Amino acid sequence: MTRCPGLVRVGLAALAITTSAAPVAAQGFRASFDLRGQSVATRGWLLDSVPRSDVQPGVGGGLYSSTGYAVTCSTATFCYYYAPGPRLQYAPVVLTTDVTAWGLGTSGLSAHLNIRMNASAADEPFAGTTPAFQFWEGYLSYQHAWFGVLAGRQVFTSRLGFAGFDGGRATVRHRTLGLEATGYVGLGLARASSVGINDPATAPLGDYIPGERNLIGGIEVGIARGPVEARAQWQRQVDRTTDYLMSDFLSGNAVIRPLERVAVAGGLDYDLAQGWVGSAEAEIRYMAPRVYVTAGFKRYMPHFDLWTIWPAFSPVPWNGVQGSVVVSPLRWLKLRGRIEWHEFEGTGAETALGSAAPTGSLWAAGATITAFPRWTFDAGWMYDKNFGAAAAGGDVSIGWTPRDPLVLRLYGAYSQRPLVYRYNDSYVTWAGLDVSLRATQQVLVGASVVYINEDRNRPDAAAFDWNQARVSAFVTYVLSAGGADRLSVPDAVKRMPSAVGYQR
Amino acid sequence: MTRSRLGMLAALLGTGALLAAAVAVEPFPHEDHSKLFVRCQTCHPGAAQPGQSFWPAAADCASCHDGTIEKEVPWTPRTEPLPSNLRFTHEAHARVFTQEQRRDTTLTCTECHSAPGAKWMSVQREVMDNCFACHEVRTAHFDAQPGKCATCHVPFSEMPSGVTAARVATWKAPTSHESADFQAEHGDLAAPVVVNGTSYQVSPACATCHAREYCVTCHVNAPEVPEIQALRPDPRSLAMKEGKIEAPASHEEPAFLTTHGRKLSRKQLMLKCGTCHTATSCEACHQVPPQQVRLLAVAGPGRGTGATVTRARPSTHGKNFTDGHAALASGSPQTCAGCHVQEQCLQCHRPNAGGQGTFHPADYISRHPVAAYSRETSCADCHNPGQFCQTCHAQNGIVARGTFIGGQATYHDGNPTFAVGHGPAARQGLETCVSCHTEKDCMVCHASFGGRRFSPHGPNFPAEKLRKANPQMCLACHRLGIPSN
Repeated sequence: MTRCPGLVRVGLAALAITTSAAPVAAQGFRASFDLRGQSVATRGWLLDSVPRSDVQPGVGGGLYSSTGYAVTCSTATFCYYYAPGPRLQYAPVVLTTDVTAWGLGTSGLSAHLNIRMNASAADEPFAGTTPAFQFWEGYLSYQHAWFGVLAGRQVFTSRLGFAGFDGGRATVRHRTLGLEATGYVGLGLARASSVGINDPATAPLGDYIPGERNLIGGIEVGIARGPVEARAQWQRQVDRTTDYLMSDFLSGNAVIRPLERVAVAGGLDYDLAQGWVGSAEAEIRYMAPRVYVTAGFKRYMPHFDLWTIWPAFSPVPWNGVQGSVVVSPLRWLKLRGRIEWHEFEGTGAETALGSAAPTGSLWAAGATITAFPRWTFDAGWMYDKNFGAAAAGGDVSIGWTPRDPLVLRLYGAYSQRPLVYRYNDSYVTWAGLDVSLRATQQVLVGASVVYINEDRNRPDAAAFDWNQARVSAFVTYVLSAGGADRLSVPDAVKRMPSAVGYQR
Repeated sequence: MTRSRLGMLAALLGTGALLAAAVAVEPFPHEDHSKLFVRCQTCHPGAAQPGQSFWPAAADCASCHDGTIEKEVPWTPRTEPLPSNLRFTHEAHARVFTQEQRRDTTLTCTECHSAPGAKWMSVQREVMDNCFACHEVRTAHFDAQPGKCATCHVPFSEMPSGVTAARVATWKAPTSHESADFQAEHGDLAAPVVVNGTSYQVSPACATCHAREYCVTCHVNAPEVPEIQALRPDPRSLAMKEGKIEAPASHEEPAFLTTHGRKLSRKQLMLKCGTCHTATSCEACHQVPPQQVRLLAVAGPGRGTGATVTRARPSTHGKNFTDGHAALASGSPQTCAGCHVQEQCLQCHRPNAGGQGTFHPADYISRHPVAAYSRETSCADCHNPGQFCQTCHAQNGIVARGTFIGGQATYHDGNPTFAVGHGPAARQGLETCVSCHTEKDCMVCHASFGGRRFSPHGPNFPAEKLRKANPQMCLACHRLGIPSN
């Protein structure tokens, strides 16, 4: 544990006090401990150079070093290339603890904590493990029939993403009318992070970071009546040092189920600061016992906070259509297909020396067979192409459940993955085995082994080995009282029947 | 051994015993004696006269079957009537014929025991059509109207102990039980009725063959159902073939899982769901059970186990669901909250470095550039670009650690002019660029102050709006020389 901010200590102390207090009626808690570790070994890359005088033309007319590497001579004196770097060994071990306690003397009062501790059994820290102590949530919640209050570190999920902050949230609701309004304000956390934007962990390359954490606040109103659920939200982030805006968004979402088998969902966000429509989507879903069809439109607009310079680089959105179908002609056979196509809006930057394909598409098909009890066979194929890279390949998996608590899955795949802006046409073959066992109602254990073989098709010596093996294991233990003595969603439910292929 | 197997064994043993009895005591050949007897009461005096034996004495038979005139026959008369669930007594029936209708008992026996037009002494134990004709039952036996059963049968729990569980196990089910709608509608059939001025709290049709224990094998709300409580307990009812709960057709609808809580009033919930489901079965899926669940009974003594619910992925949560669930999740969080808690969202949206993620397939590392270039999903919803993308790229040696024009252009060796022609790629995939490049890399060329003054701004650049929102961004490149428009 490298750091434990004061707020964290206060939160932990409050939780300890509340959970160790004398038991009162209906006191209860649920604590889950999830310990995971994996071992990964990869080959790093090393930027190297040779004097311009030491290179000569080679295969294809390009310049090569005397050691056989294709080089780029972007300066007058030196030419550069990537050589095999050191072997990198990672062994992250992560303990995630989630605790909810209730019955704290006041009906409706509960305490929540979600923390993660990272350690490494190897020299290299793995991506996402810094800082070592990650405080994701720690708040007290009071819920009444018509209002609720949350105070502490919390994550507010909405169309605009997972907004983490230290602060307060209040909700008023009218159950009969199905109306709900929420307001929240606090000191923000960086996107997908447990630390603020001023933490060096968010800028490992030493880039500029603000001096203080931002202020975040917003209002969301929602309605859920009959076949309609809808939300509207306004969220603003402010730089506390300068009072300048960091982001200012309006968004709306709705899901309507006009018929038993039909659902229509859509949403849109609008960037008030820049005055343009951000991401949006609309889709229709039809669900019959043996047919499931979706069709829709999607627009994706990247979002950068205004304290960075990236909005000034005019990122462009893409607009696309997508559709999917799942059909079960037989009870034991499920066929699926998926098509997506998108086109970027004009960049205005095309020149004779540079352009990018404006369109991309994805085609996928697959089948799942469950003709034999306890066995699941799955095969899929996918072709995915866009302006910077492409992938095409297929995968197969076999799932076997010899006994209910024990699940084994063997899988493998092959794909070709060319890059557009780098000589790196890889042919990847991989295979793996997952095992999971629900040892008791409270304990789930599992392990996984994957080997990835990557043949890199380059005309020079830079086609070095980048194969890797990954071995991982986990144990999840749930400790509880007050009736909530079940594990959370089991992996068997949370994961796809063969969530190992390209068909995601 | 399970209860059903025990029941089967008991039924087999019971059937065997009955067959053995039938072989041991051959039915009396009435027709062979038709010329000897002119009155039934000669052998069955008890049929008409209370207190008399219903069966002939062994000595009466031996007056002929003495081994000389006729061969001897073994015969030991019964001392008790054959146990059954019939309400019938000969005495009562005889009284109706002889006292109320003033008819000759010699003739009235055949009213019940002989088919119409049959020869003298061509008799059967009972001719049910004759019973039905008198009692105005105008259907087949097992199709009789509910109220008619009690005419001839006593309630199950009042049967004499001689009617064993093994015999109960051989009973045939009425035709109505074979209907596809029977499971859903049998409650209506069991409703209280008034028959011939008599009120029944539960239909006599049900009470004839069932006792409370049998209903409790399925009904989790048995204590709350008056019709079930109106039945008296009798463990023999468990010998009958166990009822099988089948999910109603409505449960097969794909939308059922997401809509089943919306359409039911409190009363409907109790009546429909509460018949088969306890609160426990709701908790199989609902992490935080909704309020209505409190209306349902908690499993315990006197209640059936009910439907066993296995948590299943809704049909809407198919192969591609995780990729596109954002629109549904952010638009209808209350529906999601029916089964999920936020902790589960965080399990995916805050990736765990300790193992393979639950979202991306195991080989995703090898093909993530494809998805990253097009952002088929928003990477930043789960991965902080600095902590995750840049950290990994830096460790593997592929990030820019100096000026962009220097050696770093080497990475993009698939396009010799990438350094000078990267504009379109950068505007289409700026999030991908940022996974390796810092602001400083780009400002080398794009800054108007201290850089090479290549404008990064695209068409329709909202300069004034951005300057108003956050001029700090403009200052980074323009310093104090921010253009006026």
